[in-house]
Amino acid sequence: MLKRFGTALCVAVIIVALTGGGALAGTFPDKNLKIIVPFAPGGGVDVTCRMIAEVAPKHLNGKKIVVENMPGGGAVIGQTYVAKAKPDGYTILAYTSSVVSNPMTKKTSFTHTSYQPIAMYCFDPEILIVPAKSPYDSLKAFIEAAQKKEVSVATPGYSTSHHIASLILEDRLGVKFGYIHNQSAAMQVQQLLGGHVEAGMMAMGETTQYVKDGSLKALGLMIDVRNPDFSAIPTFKEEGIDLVWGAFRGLAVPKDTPADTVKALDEAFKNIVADPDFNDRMQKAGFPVVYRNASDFTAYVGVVAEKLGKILPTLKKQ
Amino acid sequence: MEHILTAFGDILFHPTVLLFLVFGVVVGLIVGALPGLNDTITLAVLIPITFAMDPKYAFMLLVGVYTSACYGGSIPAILLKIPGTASSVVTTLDGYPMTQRGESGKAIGISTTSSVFGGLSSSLVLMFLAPILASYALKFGPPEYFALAILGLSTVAGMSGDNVLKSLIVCVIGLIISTVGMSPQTGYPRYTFGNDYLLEGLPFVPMLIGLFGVTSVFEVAEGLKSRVKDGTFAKMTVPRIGKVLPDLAMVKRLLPTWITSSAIGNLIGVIPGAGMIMAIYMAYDQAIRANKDKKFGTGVPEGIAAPEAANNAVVASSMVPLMSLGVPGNSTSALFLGALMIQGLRPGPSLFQDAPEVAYIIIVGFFVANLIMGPVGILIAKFLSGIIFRIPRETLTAAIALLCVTGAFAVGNSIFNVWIMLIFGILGYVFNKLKLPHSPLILAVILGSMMERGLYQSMVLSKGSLMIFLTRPISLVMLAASVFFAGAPLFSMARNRLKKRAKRGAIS
Repeated sequence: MLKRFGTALCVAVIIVALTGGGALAGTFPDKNLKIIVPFAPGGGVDVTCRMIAEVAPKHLNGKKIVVENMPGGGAVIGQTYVAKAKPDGYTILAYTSSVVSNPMTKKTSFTHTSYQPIAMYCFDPEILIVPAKSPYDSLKAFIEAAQKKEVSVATPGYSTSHHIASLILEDRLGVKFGYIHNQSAAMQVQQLLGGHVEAGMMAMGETTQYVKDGSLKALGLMIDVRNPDFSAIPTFKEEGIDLVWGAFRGLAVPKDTPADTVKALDEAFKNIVADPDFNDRMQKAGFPVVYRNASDFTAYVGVVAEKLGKILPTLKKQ
Repeated sequence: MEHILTAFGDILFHPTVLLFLVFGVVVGLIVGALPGLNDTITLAVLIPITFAMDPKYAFMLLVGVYTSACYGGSIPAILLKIPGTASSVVTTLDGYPMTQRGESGKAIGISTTSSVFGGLSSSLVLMFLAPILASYALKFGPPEYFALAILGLSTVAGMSGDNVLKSLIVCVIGLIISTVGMSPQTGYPRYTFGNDYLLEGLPFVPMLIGLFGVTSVFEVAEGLKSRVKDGTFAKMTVPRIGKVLPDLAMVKRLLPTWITSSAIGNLIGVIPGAGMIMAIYMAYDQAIRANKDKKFGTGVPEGIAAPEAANNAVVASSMVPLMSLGVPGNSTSALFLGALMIQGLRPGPSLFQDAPEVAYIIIVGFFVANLIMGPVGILIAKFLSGIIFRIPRETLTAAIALLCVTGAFAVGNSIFNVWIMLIFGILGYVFNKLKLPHSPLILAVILGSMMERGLYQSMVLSKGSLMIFLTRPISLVMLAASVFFAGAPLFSMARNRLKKRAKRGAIS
């Protein structure tokens, strides 16, 4: 029995080896791909990656994308895993702002340059939000108050992109906030709705419903020009603070991935992000789709890293 | 009211809708019963499947899973002393001793009826009291969370019986474990030894699998040698499952426990982020206080009824802040938020205007799911216990060991979790040898970080003044209650000692 099992195993190994060898000659991809999400299931990154996986087979010769969650270490665990993965294009990282900030705030074996970006599919601009009953009716009023006293600002967690956005704002305004760090955006919303904190930094997509029904007030967006869907929300630029910031969501592979494979992935994800089904779902769920191809995304991340490098010495490296 | 009746009709008179709900309940029961798998993981896997589904089918599936998963966890907790989900940790305390006495059927029956009672109570709360309770949940700010954590911890003193000192030692160990990882306020890594895996603290589920599953494997292995010598190897009595449903006298006896525990579960459930673990401990603690004549931990029916009614009472009530405010109450209802958004729906007050049929079918779904859960649960539990006790204990243990390893791995797809599981397995074994209780450890690990975060946040808000805890009424009441709960057993113990000493003094 055991012997027969052994033989079967040998045959299986040989078959796998042969088909695996065939990959060299075949076109990419010839097996299923894997997206490593360095967060627990259920968050924005996880949900959007699962939306990508759903439409992917149409654009990947019928091959599937399997989403695997690898949470821990403030996303360091999953990010390290992909940085060290075989650079064959089959292991993809859900590449978010924390890839840039983690190496600056924690000891990591990678930096953002350890990856080859493939595609950015979402950009959610940063929003400054206050409770409905807040005395601050405008960005100007908020800034004036912050210059006089320590305003409490809720974030979804220490060293998240929203905490970093507040640090940049502190730096620009020359003020000091009292930070209320949470474990999730949900707790942050609870504190804002209950009026326990004076302000909060969030991604615009997470706040739309509260702003619409009037339970929270939006003071300003960190974008270049007013968003046509939310034309009532002013930009920071209008107040003389030239600040563009937000959470980006994209995909990347290990940096030594062959150029052909990167090209194939770049092409495939261009079609995936353009897929009407994907766009429809993203729009319904309130995630703004913004596409950048491999080279534009690489350049963009470089700019973000440069900005962060200037500000992050305030978040001391431990 | 009209919407509620329509939703009942939608579920009961549409076989497909009902079928999805039943299917969800069955899936929830199974994943709940398997250590390492739970409702959160299952919903995350199911949500992408619901993308293209009619929202009615999609939400019945999700509601079914969420409703029955924490009840499913009680089945292995009772039969094997291994909680299938974190929410049935306390159920092992009295559930397993009942199984050892050959009363597993009775224990399952109590767990089932209590779960259904708790579940129905919370679905009624969701149906009729959601807006009122949601505004109460918003009153909870950082000082209130701090006070709530203290209140939760104060139950340790009540639960510990004669071993207050041992419980306190374990509680402190738990609090120390809860400090592992980045400081929530400054990001400074504590006790991480440069290991990235420890930055977010010790993973909770592998810890539980170790404490219960692996420890039981060790204990069976320890008994193996002597049993081989005796020649009793692999022989085990198959207990008759017998009558499962409790009789009227038992229902009457458990009713007060059900009511108190459901009330606790519902109140804790509507507070975002408070969670099932706190609810089950507080309910168990209250059951002990109300039944001073019974020796808890030896297979007392109330000891199963309290946590099982409480954890199911958290289920639908954790949807209260989501449905009325758009704030998810816990990680599972956060997944409902995701599922709603993908269907293009925004939870919160506007949901009841934009898509009342979806909003009400979710609410009514919880009610119907609880009714389905009873009979389906008893059927599955009977079937499972029929198999489990026919397998030789040694073989079963090997299977449990395998399940533990895969479960711990699956939580984060990492071997590190397996190590954590093993370490806590050894720790649990040592604890048992020293007769140290597990419960205060689990409670302290969960509440430690909540307490720390609440303290930090309050101090930022009050600019360092501790008065913030006393000037806010809810926080003050909770702190006073914790002083009472923690103090009462200590006080009576001290009085007993004094009496004893006085007696001894009189004799000598």
